[in-house]
Amino acid sequence: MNMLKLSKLFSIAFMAILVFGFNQEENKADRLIGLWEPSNGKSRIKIEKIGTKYYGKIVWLKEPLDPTTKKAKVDKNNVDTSMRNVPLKGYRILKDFNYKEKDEWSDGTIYDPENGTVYSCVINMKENNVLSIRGYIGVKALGRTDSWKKVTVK
Amino acid sequence: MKLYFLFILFLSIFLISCSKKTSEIDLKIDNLSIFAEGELYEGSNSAQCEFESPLNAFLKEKGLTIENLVSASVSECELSVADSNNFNIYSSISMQLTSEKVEMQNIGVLNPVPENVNTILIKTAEKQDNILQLLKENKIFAVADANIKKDTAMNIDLKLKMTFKIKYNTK
Repeated sequence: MNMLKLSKLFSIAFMAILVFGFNQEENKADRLIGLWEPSNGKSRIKIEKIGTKYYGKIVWLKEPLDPTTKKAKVDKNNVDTSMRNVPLKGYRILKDFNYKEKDEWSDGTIYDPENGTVYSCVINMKENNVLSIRGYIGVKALGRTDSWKKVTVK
Repeated sequence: MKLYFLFILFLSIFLISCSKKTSEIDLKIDNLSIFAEGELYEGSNSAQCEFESPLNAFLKEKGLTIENLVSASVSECELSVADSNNFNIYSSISMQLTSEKVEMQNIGVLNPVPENVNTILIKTAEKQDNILQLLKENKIFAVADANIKKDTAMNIDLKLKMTFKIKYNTK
């Protein structure tokens, strides 16, 4: 009887450790969620979670209007001409990131609306509230890194 | 000469009989509830829903396998307001599909959203690369990115209908 109780206790403790460990990983991964500002300060990107992956969209633009049309900026450089009418405000430029441990999110892409190009991308959290965003084509060595700071909404 | 003609004729008949016949079907997804709880703020807001791929039921019904599938695209995407409201609060809506294994696909946009209507048709994208891959997944997420004209206490509460055009081989 005592052995049975003991084994039950062990099972519960084991499950608790598993769940606790899983939650900790999830909490680590979810640190990406929030509002971020690229180094040029021209936009702000809101990163959120859909399913188990992370996505980021433009929610603020320093210059929201197109200087030529005087209307809200749209994705005028999209290679798919049928999608050039998508507003840049709300545009998902970060897509499909998975958390890979050691403060790294990868497998995703970043879109540069200034040239209509999609790059492979890896995100690292070097320190709290600072992201290192590396966009590249093919191999990581051929790319560019930008630093994004977390924006605290008051 | 006659022999040559007969050879060409038999070869043509053989090739035609062996070639695969491609058919097309529209698979519809109806009445999905796409929702985000308010308050909503001026600018970009997102709402999403999860649905099961209609592909499995179709393959089972036709006695086909995944190998029979040739291509898929979203041919129609309709949104309607779930209550008595209209779309006046929205300035633009773009739609995406994604799943755990397949990357997010833009499927269309409506910009601007017309006023005083309670149903809209999203203008579907010409370039749709991975819709077939998405449909092979069991669980798919539909994501609506809506630009809202002003802060509001209401929810995003929309009904989504989609039509997938599927091309498949019957032989």
